[in-house]
Amino acid sequence: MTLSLLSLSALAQEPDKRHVTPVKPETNQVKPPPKGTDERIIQQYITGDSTAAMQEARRDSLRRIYKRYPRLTDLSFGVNFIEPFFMAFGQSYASADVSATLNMWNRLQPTVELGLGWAKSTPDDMNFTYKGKPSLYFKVGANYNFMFKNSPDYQAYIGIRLGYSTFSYDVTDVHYWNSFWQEEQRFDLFGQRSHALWGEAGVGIKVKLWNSLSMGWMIRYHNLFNYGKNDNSKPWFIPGYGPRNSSLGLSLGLYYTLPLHRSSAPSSTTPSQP
Amino acid sequence: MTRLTHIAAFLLIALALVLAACSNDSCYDNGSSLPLATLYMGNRQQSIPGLAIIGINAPGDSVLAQSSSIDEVYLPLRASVSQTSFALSRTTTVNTTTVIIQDTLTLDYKVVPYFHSAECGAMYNFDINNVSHTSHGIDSVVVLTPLVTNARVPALRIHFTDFSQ
Repeated sequence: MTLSLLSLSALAQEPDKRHVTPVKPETNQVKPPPKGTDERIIQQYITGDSTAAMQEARRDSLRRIYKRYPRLTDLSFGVNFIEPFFMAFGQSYASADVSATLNMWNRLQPTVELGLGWAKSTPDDMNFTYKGKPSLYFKVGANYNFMFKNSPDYQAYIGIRLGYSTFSYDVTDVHYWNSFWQEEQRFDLFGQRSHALWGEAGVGIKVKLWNSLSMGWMIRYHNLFNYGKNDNSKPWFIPGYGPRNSSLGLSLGLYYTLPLHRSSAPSSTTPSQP
Repeated sequence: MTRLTHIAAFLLIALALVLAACSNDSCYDNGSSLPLATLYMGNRQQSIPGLAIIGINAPGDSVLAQSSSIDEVYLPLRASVSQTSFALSRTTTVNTTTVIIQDTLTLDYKVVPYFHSAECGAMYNFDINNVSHTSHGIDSVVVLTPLVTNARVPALRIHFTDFSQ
C-alpha cells in the first residue's frame, strides 16, 4: 500500500520536471567583428554596448555598399544643339543654350541655362510669315540623379526648370481673302513684343562618351504660367519654350565635366558626410 | 553593359522621344473672324420662315442665307471699309396676303488686324461700335459680343416681329 502510494506520488510530480535544451557550442560564441571594422565599433563591442555597436556596424556596411560622393562632385558645362540641328531638316524654329550644372553628392544637381531662340516660318497653306527675332531666355532648376550610387559617368534623372524670356517678333506678308466680298487685303504687324514665364518637368539620361565628354538628353513637359498678349497678336513661338501650344520639348546636349574633387570617385574607407 | 551598348540605347530612346514630341497643329476655331447672328422670334431662338439675307453691294448678289431651317447665320464683314450692310428679306403672310418685308441691317466697326496662331493664321477682328436697322420686320438687334474674333460665340441677336399674332 505504501509502495503504491509512493509510486502514484512520483507520477503526479512528473509534469513539473524541467527539461533544459542544451546550448549548441557554436552559437554560444561571440563572433569577432568582420575584418576592417572601424576601431570605434570594436571598442563599443569590448565595452559591452553591443546594440550601439551593431547599429554602427550596419551603418558602416551601408556606407561601404552605397558609397557617398563628395558634396561638390563635379561641374558640367553643356551646349544644347538639337533644335538648330532639326532646323536643318525643315523645322521652322530653334532654341539653343549653354548650361552649367553643379553635381552635389552625385545626386542633386542645380543648373542654369542661358540660351537664344529664333523662328522663321511661312507655312505653305497659311497666309503669313512669322519671324521671331533672336531673343534670350533663361532657365534655372535642378536635377535629381537616381543613379547616385553609381558612377557619375552614367546618370538617369528627373528635373524641374523655371524659364523666362522677353522677345519680339514680326508677322508679315499677311494676305487675307474674303471669299464672300471678293476682297483681298494685305497687312504686316511689325515690332510685336511679349514675354513668357513657364515651368518644365522632365526626365533624362546622360552617358559618358570619351574622357570628360558626355552626351545627354532630356524630354520636358512644359506649361506656360503666363505670357504677354498684344492688341494685334498672340506670340506663336517663345524662345526656350517652342511653339506656344506645344506641351513637350526635347533637349540634347554635349557636356564637358570638370571634377571638383581630387577624385570624384567615392572613398570606401573614409566616406565624406553630406 | 558596354559603353557602346549604353550609347546605342541612348540614341534609340532619343529618337523615339523626338518622334513622340510632335505637336498638334489643328485650328479649333474659325479660320476667319465672322460675327455669328442668332435669329429670334419672340423670346425663342428659331428659324425664320421665308428669310433671305444678302450682302448689299456684294459681288453677284451673293445670298448669305436662304433657308427656313437655319436659326443662326454668319455675317461676313468687309475689311476694306468700316461699315457693312445686309438686306434681310422675309416672305410672310399677313391677313392671308403674301408679302415681302425688307429690312436693312448696318454694322459699324473698327477693323483690327490680328495674328491668332500658326494653326488658324492671321485675320481681321472687328470691334463693333454701332448697329442700326430698319424696323419693318426686325423688332430689335442686340450686340452680345462687340469684339468679333474667330471664336464660335454669338455676336448678335436679331429679334424678328411675329406677324402671326
